[in-house]
Amino acid sequence: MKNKDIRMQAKGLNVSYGDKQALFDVNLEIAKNKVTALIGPSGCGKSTFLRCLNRMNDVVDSCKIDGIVQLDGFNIYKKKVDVVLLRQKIGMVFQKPNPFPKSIYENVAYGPKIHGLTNSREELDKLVKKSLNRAGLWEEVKDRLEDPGTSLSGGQQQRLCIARAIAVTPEVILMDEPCSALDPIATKIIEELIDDLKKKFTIVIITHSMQQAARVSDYTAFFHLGKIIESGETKQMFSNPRLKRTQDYIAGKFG
Amino acid sequence: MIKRTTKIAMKRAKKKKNPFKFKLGSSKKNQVHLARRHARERRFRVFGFSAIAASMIFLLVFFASIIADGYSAFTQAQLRIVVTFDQSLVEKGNYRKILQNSLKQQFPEAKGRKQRFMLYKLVSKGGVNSLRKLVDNNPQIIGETDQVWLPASSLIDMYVKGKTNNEVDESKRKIKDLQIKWLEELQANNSVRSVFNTAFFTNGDSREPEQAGILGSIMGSIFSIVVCMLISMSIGIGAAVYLEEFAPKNKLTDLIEVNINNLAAVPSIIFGLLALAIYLNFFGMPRSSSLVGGFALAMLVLPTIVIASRNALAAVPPSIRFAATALGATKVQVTLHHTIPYALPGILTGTILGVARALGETAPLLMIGMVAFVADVPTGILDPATSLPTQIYLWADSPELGFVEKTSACIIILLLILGIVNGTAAYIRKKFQYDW
Amino acid sequence: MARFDKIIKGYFFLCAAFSVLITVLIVFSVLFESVRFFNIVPVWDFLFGTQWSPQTAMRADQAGSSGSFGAVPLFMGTVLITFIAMCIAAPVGLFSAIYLSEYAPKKTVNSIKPILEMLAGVPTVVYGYFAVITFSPFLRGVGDFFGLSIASESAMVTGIVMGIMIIPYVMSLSNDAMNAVPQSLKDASTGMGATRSETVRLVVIPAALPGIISAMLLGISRGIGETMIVVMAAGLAAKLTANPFEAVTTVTVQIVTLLVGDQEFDSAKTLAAFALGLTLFFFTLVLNVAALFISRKYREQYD
Repeated sequence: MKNKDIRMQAKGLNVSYGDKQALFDVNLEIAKNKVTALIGPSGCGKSTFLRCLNRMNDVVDSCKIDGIVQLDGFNIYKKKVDVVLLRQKIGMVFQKPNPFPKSIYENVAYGPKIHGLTNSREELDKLVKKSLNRAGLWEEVKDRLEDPGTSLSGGQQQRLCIARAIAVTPEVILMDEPCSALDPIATKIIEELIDDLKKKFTIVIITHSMQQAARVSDYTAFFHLGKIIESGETKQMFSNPRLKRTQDYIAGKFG
Repeated sequence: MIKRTTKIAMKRAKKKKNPFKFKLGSSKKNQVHLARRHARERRFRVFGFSAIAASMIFLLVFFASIIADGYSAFTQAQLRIVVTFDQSLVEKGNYRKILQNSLKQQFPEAKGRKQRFMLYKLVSKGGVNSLRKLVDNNPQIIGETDQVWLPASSLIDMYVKGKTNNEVDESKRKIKDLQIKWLEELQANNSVRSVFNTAFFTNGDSREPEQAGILGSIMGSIFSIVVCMLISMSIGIGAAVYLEEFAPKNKLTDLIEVNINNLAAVPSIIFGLLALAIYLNFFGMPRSSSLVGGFALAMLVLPTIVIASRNALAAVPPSIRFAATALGATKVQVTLHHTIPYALPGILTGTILGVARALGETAPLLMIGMVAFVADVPTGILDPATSLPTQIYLWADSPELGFVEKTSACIIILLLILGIVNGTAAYIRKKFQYDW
Repeated sequence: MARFDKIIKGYFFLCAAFSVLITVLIVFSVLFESVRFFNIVPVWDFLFGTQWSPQTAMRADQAGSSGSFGAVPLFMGTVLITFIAMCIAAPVGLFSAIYLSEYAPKKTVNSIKPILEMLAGVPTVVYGYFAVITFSPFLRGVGDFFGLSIASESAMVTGIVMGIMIIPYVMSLSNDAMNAVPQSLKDASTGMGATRSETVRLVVIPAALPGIISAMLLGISRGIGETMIVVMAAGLAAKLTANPFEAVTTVTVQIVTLLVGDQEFDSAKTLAAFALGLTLFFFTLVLNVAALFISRKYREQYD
């Protein structure tokens, strides 16, 4: 990978919760405007890794992080980093759709409002429309923006969460198994959306489905027991993995 | 204020190059916005911390002031008086005269009725009883002269403890210069000492602060708590078991539940009114007795016990019940043999917390008259009694200076007892609770 | 065997029924005496009269022998003191809850919470004593310093001390409500780059609002029904005033004064206490039930 194509990079990352170490010396590059998939059995540390990328682990008291995570070459774990700005640049979509108990409009407007991104109501309206549009939800909800976000179906809720995340124009979007709570049709829509979003954003996605990883991602990293076993281009990894363990996992021999 | 913090934040930001500081908000407007957000965040945090700190500080001031006021009540000043046990007076049982004569002999300069009256006031009225006891235990002392340590009156006790204001004019204070002079004479002879105040723990109430004790109110509290526990436990646990294990899901059960939750928040004085109207006026039970007090408290803590017991029962996993049922046990057997025993630690914890509440409750006891002056230590549940909290209320209302420290001391004892009771509950919960 | 089962089951049912019986007994005993009172003093005069002087004369032919029973000054006093109390308890309790649930590390919470709950375990008679002996002189000293004259038995002293008593209730109930807000919502807000205070203000509090409101209602109900603090610190003067530095009296204080000591059971004076009790029971009932239903609705929302 050429240097200018790298958006994020983890170097020698060690993470532990209390006495339990969750990540061991993780090194990974995340390419610009590509989709990077993190795969591996449950409890392998991929979720921990993802949460390190926008410092969501700061919220956990017992979490200790050691190592470097860079965004555009700048270490985000430096002391003076403003996590508020950081998280505006690195958005996140969670496993279960978690819209706020507010209206659809207010859900999307939440980020721009707290960050003060718009100057007027019209601008905000425009931004909300743009974000919903980009998340492919505008046509479905344009007539009921004042309905509560929780009134939508699961797939729509997840797209609402994506709209909410992109409304603050992040550079990177982290997705923690965004489709695990959805039915196949909703999953397909989200996958198409991801494909579309990567034109503008860099995406890191955790998934349990090998097929999904193969379908949506450009690069894949395989985590096992807190270590990265193998990483590289998705095509190469799925067709011709270097290690036996990777092959076994992809083939579903353990998981 | 906001402007200043904003400026400081911006200055700080300029010093260090850090893209996550203000790169995104490179426009001045965004910088200001972000700085403001952080300032607001800091303020919010300070508010939260101050709220906690305020409660903590209050608690500290509270305990400090109570202890500072009350610790001196655990000691009592005594005076060494040379007493002549005149035979004829002993035979007449006139120990008061014996004491007065001895005092007169020791301080012959007390002239006239007024001064002599002041002199007699040095020693507690309880000193007469001490002399009588001394003679009863040791009859050969009759006719002899001996040095005897006698409890000082509250007036002297307060002076010795430094609680009186001696700066003001003599006419405005209770302790007179002459009495201070006598006391200083005694002090010069090493005839004033401070001993542990046993009377405080062995006496009932008294009009004289130096003789007032808490034994009566402690006994009253014990009696009423025992009555309260017997009733509230047997009914409360039963009600909890019914609601959690047997009750069908219907409107009636729902009503009972709302009703119990509401009862838990009914002002305690209402329970006093109820006890007054039903037990005293309708059934004619003895006023001021621990029995009625216990009844009133039982109704008061019943909802607490029901709610806690229900939570404990609900925490027993259904699988245990299924297992027993599958072995052919009836519903009642399952409940009696399995559910209740497993939930017992939780039930006990809840009950003890209920007892702690009952121990500190005052208002309903006022209504049924457990707030009268009772000098005798009650010996049964039908005797008139006070309880620790009502004793505090009574003493707090007394104008004598000596009762201030007694009240605080009584509070210390009550809080200690509550601490022990709550500690026991915490211990049981920790030690015996099943972790499902 | 079956008979034994039936007896045990019957016993459990009777126990549960007894709890209802208590409520019924309360309502009946208080209502019965109140009706007798309203036969002497019209309901209207009681609820809207502004003169409260229940001292009935010794002889029936004496002037003003009936006393006057307009309870408005008592209601006003109760409201004033409870209002002051909630001005203390609501912000302090709420911010304590916020700090405990969102800011303080777990270890700190585990050590601070039991200490704060000690405040809830202190008997109210002790609070009352503290108000009289320590706090009232202190506040009067402060008042003198600013040239304010504060009565030794003032609504302010009583209200503040009562507020301190209510803090742990408000804190612990709103803390429960805030802890019940799903972590996923807080994560979503944090993940967007919201500061903690923004998450609290814009996500946690709105989501926990029903629980918080119910905590406040229960706090108010406790304040209205509180007896010992007001009996010891608030005084007996049935004045119609909104000045917090004057002495006022409350419903509970009057119940105690009317009923403590010797009493004949048929005079308007003693019966008035039951009418006050009925009013008190009614208002706290409304508050409690409202709080109960609001928090129930809320629990359903997140189950």
